[in-house]
Amino acid sequence: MSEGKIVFHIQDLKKSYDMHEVLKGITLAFLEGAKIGLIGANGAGKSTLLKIIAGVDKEFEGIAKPIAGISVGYLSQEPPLNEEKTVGGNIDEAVTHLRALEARYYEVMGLMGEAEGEKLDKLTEEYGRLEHDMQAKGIWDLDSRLEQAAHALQVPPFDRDVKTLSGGERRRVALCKLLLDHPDILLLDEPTNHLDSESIAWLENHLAEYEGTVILITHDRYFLDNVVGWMLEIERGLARPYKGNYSEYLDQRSKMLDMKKKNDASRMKVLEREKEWLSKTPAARTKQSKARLKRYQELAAAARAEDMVQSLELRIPLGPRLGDQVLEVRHLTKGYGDRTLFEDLTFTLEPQAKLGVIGPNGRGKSTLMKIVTGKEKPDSGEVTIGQTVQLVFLDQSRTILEDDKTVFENITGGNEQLPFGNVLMDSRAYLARFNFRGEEQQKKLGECSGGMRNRVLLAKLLREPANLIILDEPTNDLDLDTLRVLEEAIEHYPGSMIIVTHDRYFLNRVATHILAFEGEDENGRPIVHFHHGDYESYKDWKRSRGEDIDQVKGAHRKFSR
Amino acid sequence: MILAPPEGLAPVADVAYARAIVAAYAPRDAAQAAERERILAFIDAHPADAHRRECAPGHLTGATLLVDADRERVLLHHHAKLDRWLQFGGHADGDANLRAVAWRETVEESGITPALLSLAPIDLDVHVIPARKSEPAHLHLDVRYLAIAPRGAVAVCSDESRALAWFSPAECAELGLDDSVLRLIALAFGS
Repeated sequence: MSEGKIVFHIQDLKKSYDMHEVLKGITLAFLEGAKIGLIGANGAGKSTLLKIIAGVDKEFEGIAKPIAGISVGYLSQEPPLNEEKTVGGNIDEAVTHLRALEARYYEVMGLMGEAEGEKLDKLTEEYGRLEHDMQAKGIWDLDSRLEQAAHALQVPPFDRDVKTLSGGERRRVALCKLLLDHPDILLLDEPTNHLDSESIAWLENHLAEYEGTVILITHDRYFLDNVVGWMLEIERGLARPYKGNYSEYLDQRSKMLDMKKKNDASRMKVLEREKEWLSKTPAARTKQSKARLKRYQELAAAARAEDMVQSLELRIPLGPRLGDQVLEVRHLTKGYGDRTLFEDLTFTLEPQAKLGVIGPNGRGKSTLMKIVTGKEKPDSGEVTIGQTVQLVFLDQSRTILEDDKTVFENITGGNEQLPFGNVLMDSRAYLARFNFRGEEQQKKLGECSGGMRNRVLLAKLLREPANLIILDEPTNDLDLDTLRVLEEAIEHYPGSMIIVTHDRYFLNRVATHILAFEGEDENGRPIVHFHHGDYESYKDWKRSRGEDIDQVKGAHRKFSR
Repeated sequence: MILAPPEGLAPVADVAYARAIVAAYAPRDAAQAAERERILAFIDAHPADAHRRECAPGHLTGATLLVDADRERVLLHHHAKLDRWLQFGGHADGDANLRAVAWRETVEESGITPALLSLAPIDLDVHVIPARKSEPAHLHLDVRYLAIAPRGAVAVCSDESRALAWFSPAECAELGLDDSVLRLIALAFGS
């Protein structure tokens, strides 16, 4: 991929909400073809920066604009669709534009046969431009590209009314439309949310080969590793670029932190010395005192600012001791109408096991969780839960939160202290463990982003003493720092867990066993496989059977080169 | 590629740093892949002094193509010794941080402090410097960056140049530039 031409320029970009300055003067430029991952804590300004680059947010100071002739396309977290049209009608909006280009291309070709002189020169120039677009936007094979994208992204039937779509379905329609439109700069805010792992694999492949600039926000670290070549970290209102993907960024960052520790140590020494000097009597101070006092204040302020981004530590409180029996599923069968989700499913969950549940959307993962928690009944078979088990279920639908109450009230029920076993913990300190600080704790839940709501739910549920925790898609919308913390907490959690997730990185780190919804056999019967081992060993097992689950399935071919 | 304000430009003594820069470069075509291999092989053959001009067979150099704030023109200098219009650049002189070298040479030769400098090289070029009285023929292994000047930047001619001037891509085509300079300009303007 050639990188050379500048496609976007940002200079002294500042952005404030009310009195709070989110972006504090960012200066950067992007070259054609760069694949960039935007990262930073929730609320650091990632989505804000993306909206400004997209031209959606125009309220800012400084310069942020693409160079002339560069097109920009944007997938927001809740993308707007044309509510008057069907799914097909919305996608046609992208197609119509491309068809118009194609029509003009053939028209110009015809006109060139009759024109001469200056007129011919102009037409030739336009023809060159159009031919480039035909190639770059893949108009030659538009129909097959459309078919592949719609299939790979599981776009709902084209005759569906968009008003009846779920949030996830709307995003898939918007993403499909955007990819067909093929802008020079593609901006994606959490593109993998609501996609299953097959669609994610296809999208990864598509973006890695995308002939244009891609800037994206995602919590999927494999996705970052496989797609981006550059990282841009937003921290304290400034942007720091790194060359490399997520793994390489972590390396560079840990090296920088080591350096910082050395600096901190020496800064502490200076601070100590200066403090000593300040404590002397005023008479003993020299005439340089003013400058010195100022320097001390600067140093102390710098130390304070950096302490703000201290690392989080989350510990999941453990319920009563687990007996030998945790969960036993025997000969379980469930279906809806003539569709069977699983048949004769049998497995046993041991104490301390962390079971990762994987597979495409709509295959029955969430239904199984509902049966295990007693919210739904199986058609046949039984679920036995051990006598000592105290179960907590973190649900995808997040119904138990109250929008008109604050973060603090939702999590603590208004209590200043929370009981954990025999000890009481200060509620605010507990919230801080989930990265809710100061004002954020008093925010009304209705004003919170998806990521914050997810953290509220985690904090609320993990308050309950439990020794079996079921998490359904816990990683959606969490920022990377919170994810790392959650992983660590799960790794050190001595109880049992069942985790439904599409996040492969997360799975690799925490799961000890895998339950895979693999699709259907040749007779159309569902295959659900229980694997005694972690995700890596599951992949090895699949490979030994000639199936590589990291490979994109045949039906999901890439659609443009 | 991301262009960012200058940061991390401290000099580095160890040639391994320069090697890492070249090794991380993603070539856009077979010719660039070949240049990358040549430079890596050269560094491996001269692990102590590939970044010093005392290394007689050749040495690492850093260069910058400087573009104006509107990205319409490039600043070139007419090199006194070589009698040619060139981008800015020069010897690493023991600094393996080639990005810092490119930066330093640009500031010295143009009098302009760029607003932005590419995080990594955009092009590699190995070329022969013909023999002169003082030195035999040798290679320059040039690692080249892209920079953007601040708005209203004023160029100041140094001793090494006869002239400095801003050129549009069309004007560059008339200057009889070296292929490797034209290649850089084509990269920057996407033609």
